[in-house]
Amino acid sequence: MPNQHSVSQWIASLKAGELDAAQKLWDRYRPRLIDRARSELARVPKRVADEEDVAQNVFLSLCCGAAAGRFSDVRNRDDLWWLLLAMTQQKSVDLIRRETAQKRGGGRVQPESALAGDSGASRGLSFDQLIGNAPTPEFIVILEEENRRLMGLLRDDQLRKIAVSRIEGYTVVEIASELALSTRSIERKLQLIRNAWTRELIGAERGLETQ
Amino acid sequence: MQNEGWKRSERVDGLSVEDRIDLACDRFEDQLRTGQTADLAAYLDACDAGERARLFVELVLVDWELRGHGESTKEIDWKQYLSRFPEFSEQLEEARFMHRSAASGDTLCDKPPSTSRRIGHFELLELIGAGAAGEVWRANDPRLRRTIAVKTPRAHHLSDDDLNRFLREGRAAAQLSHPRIIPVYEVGRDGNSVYIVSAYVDGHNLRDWLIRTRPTHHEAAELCRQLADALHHAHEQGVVHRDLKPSNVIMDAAGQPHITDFGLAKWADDGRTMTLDGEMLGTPAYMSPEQASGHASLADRRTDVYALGVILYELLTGKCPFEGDPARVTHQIIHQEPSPPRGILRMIPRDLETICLKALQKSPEKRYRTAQEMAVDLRRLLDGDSIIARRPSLLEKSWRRARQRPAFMAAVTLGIAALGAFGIATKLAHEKHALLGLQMVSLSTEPPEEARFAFAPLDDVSGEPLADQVVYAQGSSPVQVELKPGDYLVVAVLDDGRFHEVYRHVPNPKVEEPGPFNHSYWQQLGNGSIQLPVVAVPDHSVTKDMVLLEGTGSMGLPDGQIGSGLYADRRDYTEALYQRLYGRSPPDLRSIAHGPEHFVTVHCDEAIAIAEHAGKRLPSEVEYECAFAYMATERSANISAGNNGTGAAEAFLSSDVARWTTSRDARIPSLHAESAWVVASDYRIVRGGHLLVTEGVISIERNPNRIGERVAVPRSSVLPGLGFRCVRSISPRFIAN
Repeated sequence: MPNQHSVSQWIASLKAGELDAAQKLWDRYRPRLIDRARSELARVPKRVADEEDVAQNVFLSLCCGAAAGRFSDVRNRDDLWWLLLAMTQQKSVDLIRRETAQKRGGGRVQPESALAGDSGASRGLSFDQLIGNAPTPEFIVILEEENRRLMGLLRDDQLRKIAVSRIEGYTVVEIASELALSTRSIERKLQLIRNAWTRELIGAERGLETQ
Repeated sequence: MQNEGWKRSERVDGLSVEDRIDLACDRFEDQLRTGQTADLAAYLDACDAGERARLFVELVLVDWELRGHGESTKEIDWKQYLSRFPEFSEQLEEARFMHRSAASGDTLCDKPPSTSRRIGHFELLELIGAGAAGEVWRANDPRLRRTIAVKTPRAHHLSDDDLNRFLREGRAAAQLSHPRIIPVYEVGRDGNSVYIVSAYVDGHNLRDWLIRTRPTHHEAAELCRQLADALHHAHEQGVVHRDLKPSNVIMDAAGQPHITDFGLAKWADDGRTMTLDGEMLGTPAYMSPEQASGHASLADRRTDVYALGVILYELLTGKCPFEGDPARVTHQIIHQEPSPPRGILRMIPRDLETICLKALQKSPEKRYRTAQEMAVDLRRLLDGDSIIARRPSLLEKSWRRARQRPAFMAAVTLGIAALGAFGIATKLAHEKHALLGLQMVSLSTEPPEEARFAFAPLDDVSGEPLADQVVYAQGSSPVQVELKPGDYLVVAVLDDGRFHEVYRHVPNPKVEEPGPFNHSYWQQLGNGSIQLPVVAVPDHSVTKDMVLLEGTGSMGLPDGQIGSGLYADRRDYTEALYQRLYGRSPPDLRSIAHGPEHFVTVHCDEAIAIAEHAGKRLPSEVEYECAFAYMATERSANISAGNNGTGAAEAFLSSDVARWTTSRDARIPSLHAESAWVVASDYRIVRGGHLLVTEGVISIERNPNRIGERVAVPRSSVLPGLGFRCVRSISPRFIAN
């Protein structure tokens, strides 16, 4: 992510050619992500059907959104989704670093160039780094963990439900009518979630920098 | 779904500011939803002082949304809030802005497609347009991995013949390749219906674009030139559009036009003009006379030239040549000449009007023969060359007028038979005036002096005098001049150098009534001419209390502005001044305070009248701009001279109230679908304060920078925070020889 700026804003400011490129990346990434998500889902016990579990499974959200055709456009993705993705990316870079260091046994850190998606750690990830690579099974596991962790940061279940709905691609109006709240309240709460997650992401970036 | 099931506020300890505000808003919303009275003030009191402003905005937004009133009620709400919470006026403005942008469809952009649908192998992503006769989708072409537009006309009962013709015409359209024509990739059949696949251009159609954008004449000409080029390309391939109109032109992000539905208009139409069997529906505003008279088969490239003429007309004037109910418009298209664009807005360049009217000729033979000819003329105009199209002669105009009004022609003929030679001449002279729309006007000074007069028509849109259209009266006063009805800046100059610049209105006495002010009053004389109120030219001493803003230069502003300099009042017009001028106190209207030093609150026309009476006039907003620029010059000069004093411009600009200007330029979006905007002729620009200042709510220090704030106010409004101050030109702006 370009530092604290929201990816959505960044996407909105892309010129036609750049946006085309971003869309192409996304078009390639999306089916792979969903395929991966589906196969992961098949392995997971049926607990995802549990309605009580608000944070649910982010894959389920992805599949729901994909089935409803909500995922096709880069611009349709809310900040929350990009924040989640960026957070996951940071964590996987972190993991690869630590594993590599352990394997080598000497605590030496691999040169940056050897790590895909690594160079953006402190300066913010580029779009290419965010969705340029096919998601690995490990990535999916981290995505799931990050999803749960980020949801856990939120104050209450209502905020979690809003975050999940937004990641599934629902509009503010749709979420408002679902929860019987004003659209202004949904906007206000989304901003609250964005702020919380952005703080977390900046923290993760700093942490990575200091390692 | 209800909220009961939610485990709310799991973590009450260590809540952040935004959490606290969020929770307070939730309680507030809960209260409102359950029909209880929720006291906004109590919520504010309960929260920390530092969080109140933020909470206030949020509560107001929730309150407005939940109560879901119409816009007018909101204005009232807003004012009530304002009177209850004057300390939050800034936050209230913010809330109003946010509320408006939310209402204007910010949420639309995140609207996902309602269903996942396919046509052919295309995935429909987002419905971007829907009309009675079909839908337009943004879609994905998974094979070529590109975004495309898919149009699905709701065509009923397609026969095999129709289908073949559709496919044939689609193939012809697909041959077109021009940067200003949206390429058709394919046409096809999906079950019982047909579809058209074309490139997707991200943008608004010209109709919507015009609501937000106001093209200059130059931009209008350039836009039409590009469209004419594109039309010509298609015509050369044997494809005629037949239904060119703003909704068929897409403006991309760079402001470039792209024509859509080429040759497929009757299939892809949004349902507002024609159905498949040629039956007319909706507005025919862009239809050519040959189409309107039912000879659609005669439509050829000149039909498109006509439609382009209508678009040019609309870009220039903001409305179509003929508007109203379809039957009447159709009749007018066939039988009536359009009003010349310059009759609507006088600032339109004459050559551009000529091009427009040539494209709008009833008879195709008289139009540009090709779109290219029109493009060439527009190009010549843009390059500053003389154009090829010719204006119709006066004789030709009279003939056309006569043909439209047979009764009038019969009257002239009868008149010739009945009257003597002198009578005929007089009659014809009057008819000439009537044809040109001129009105004989007489004007003099008080006391009677030998003054020379210049009449500068005011531009309808900006309210600025049009320097290139000044009419100079022959001889000295009393003078008689023939003028077109409208508003004028009248400059009266005496031999000893004294002068006055006043406003006068030349009426069309058949349809207008005289108003109460010098600049709206008139009297009809027995001979049919109009007597305007006399002009009282002030002494040189009128400027003795004013500051001088020397040679501010035109600062890249339009010609005829304040090149030579300006005398300006150093204070707002006060009750004391009013008392001295009129010998009575000003009308007690909406002033929030009174006293000799308090400024006078009057409506714009009264301010203009007072200024004239005082030997001065109201400034235009351009003059405020110039003074503002001049202030910077003055300050740097003062600094280098080690001078701490207040400069002339700063004295003129510093005020704690908003001030009337003579400038109009207040356009508002039209409620009628036919025209994109209307000139709000009854509004005047107020500088030096936003709405709250004019309402007298905020009393800010006398800050000269506040002159940058600008708002349009109905000219008849008297507002507690809205005064005026006067200026006077250093020398008359227009002098007759």
